[in-house]
Amino acid sequence: MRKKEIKVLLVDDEVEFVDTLGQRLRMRGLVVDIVYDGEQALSFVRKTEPDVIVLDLKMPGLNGMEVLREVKKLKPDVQVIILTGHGTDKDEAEARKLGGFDFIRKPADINLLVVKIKEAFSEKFERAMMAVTFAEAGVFDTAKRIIKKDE
Amino acid sequence: MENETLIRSNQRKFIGKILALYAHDLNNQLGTIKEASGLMEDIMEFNKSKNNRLREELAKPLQSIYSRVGEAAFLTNTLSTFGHEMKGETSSLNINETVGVLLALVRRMAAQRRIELVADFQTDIPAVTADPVMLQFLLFCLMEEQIIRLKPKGRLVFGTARSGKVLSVMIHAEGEEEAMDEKRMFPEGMAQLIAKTYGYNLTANGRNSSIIFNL
Repeated sequence: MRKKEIKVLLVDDEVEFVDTLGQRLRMRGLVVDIVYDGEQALSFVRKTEPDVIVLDLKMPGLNGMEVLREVKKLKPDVQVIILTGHGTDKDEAEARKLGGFDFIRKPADINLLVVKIKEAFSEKFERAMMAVTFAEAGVFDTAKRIIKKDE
Repeated sequence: MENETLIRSNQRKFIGKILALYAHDLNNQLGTIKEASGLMEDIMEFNKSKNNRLREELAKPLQSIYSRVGEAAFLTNTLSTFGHEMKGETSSLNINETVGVLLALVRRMAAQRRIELVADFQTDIPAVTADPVMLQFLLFCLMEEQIIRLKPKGRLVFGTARSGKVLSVMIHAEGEEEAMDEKRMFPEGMAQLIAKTYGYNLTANGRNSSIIFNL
């Protein structure tokens, strides 16, 4: 069985930083796309569904929290990891509340970041598999029948 | 007088904002340096057979870059915390963290005089309500008093301890003293003035100072 490639979208206005990070992640077998602001990120997510977004917080235009909020509305299954040079504890709490998978402060260790991306992807994959399993087992149909009977 | 107080409190927020912005910017630079040096290492690693000798020669400078970037990142995160502390006023504090931030920011000053700063914190102490920056300012004034007296190789031990319904923050100086030839940064008695004005329970005599919080 072919191993599924993990599709990552990097979002950061620090061009040199994010281009280099992208290169390093590709060397480690990840499929990487890069955008440089929040509007580009949302535009990308509307067209395709990355598995994991690695997202900076402080960007010109739409900031990372706004992007996170919108992504979770558009594609709730997409996992988001915040990677920021800013980051207070308050920011971390808010990001997690909005559905962020993890919160990492720059400069980050590449190996840690890859581990977190894979963990985020695994969680997304497991949720998707559970949904398929329930559907196949007719759980949803059974549930609908029970609810209708009660009504 | 009221206007002056208002201006000073907003000036503090301004300074805090500048510090936090600077720390953020610097962290981004460090992030780029770390990625670029990491990429160099990756390129050599992924072309191992061709680049063995090059890898060996570059291992040490690369390690030095990582180590310094790590140190610098710690300092910028500490500075960012300090900057954010300046925006608010009285809040619920973990005293160990508040004193820890101060020690991280002033270690260069102590190192230049060859004075060792030691943290001897009791763990699991309860939070207290205080203005973190004012507390740090008070501790800094007390510290400065000691530092300008101590000879090189002296130590300043910062401790926290809880005893019943009392939490203490202590500074204890160890080592030989010398005549003060260095000009003070703050006027004499500054620590006592801060304590009196802001209601800190301060005891300072000779080599020992302590600030008491009632829990």
